[in-house]
Amino acid sequence: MLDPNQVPPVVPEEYLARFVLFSRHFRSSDNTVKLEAFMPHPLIELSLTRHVEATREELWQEGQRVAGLRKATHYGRADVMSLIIIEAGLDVEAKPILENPNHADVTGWPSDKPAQKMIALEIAIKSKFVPKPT
Amino acid sequence: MSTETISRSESIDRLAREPLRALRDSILGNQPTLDDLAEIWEECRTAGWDGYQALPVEQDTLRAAYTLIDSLPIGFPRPSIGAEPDGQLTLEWRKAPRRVLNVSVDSDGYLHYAGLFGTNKRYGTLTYFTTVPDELLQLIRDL
Repeated sequence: MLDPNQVPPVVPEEYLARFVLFSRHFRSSDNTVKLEAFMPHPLIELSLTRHVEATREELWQEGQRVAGLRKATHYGRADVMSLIIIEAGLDVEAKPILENPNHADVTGWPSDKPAQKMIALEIAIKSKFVPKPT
Repeated sequence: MSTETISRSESIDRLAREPLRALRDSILGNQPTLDDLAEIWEECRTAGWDGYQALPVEQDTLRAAYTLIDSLPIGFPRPSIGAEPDGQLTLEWRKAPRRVLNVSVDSDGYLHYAGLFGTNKRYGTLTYFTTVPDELLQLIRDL
């Protein structure tokens, strides 16, 4: 994971992960992500974890930690390039937290629901669902 | 009204409803989707159901989604059901990765939708009361 004292800004080329903790937020038939996984409510921001400097194991451990906090099932993660989010008109900001120096927030969401859905749909179809290894 | 009249009208009512019920339970009907809706509501009726900070799906929202699904024309493509962190239920019709329509149902009779129709995108809000709006049926046909 990143050094908490030296967290660089998010660049367009890096990958980000959204942990999927609800079975209806992906399609098990073809392992694709539904737009609901990228909807920002109730905060007008969306939590993601940066891949940069993280091993595969560390990424899964972080997903497991988040799921454990909420007593949820960790189904996998939706990986998306930062550039896709920026091209959709949003911002990605490095927001390290004590437990996760790779934490980032997606901000700049429009306030109206249909526009949020449209953006979430565009991000979802360009993301890749990676099921949690069994 | 006499007991005999009531009994006769109940029989007529049963006879009239029977074919509708049979059709709904058939392969063309919406019953499997309604069953799925009930299952999702069970999963989403408490806060934080998505593992983050989702609001619970209220009973009024369930009722609105039920009414909408139940009023879809028989034989029409069935949606898959989902839920969003703001407590709204979603109906999704998907033909291909870039031919997808996702509709949020809230408890106040609003339908917020976003869809990809190949290279075109459309999004907006519709209102409904007891039947599916024609605009929504047209969006589904356009997929």
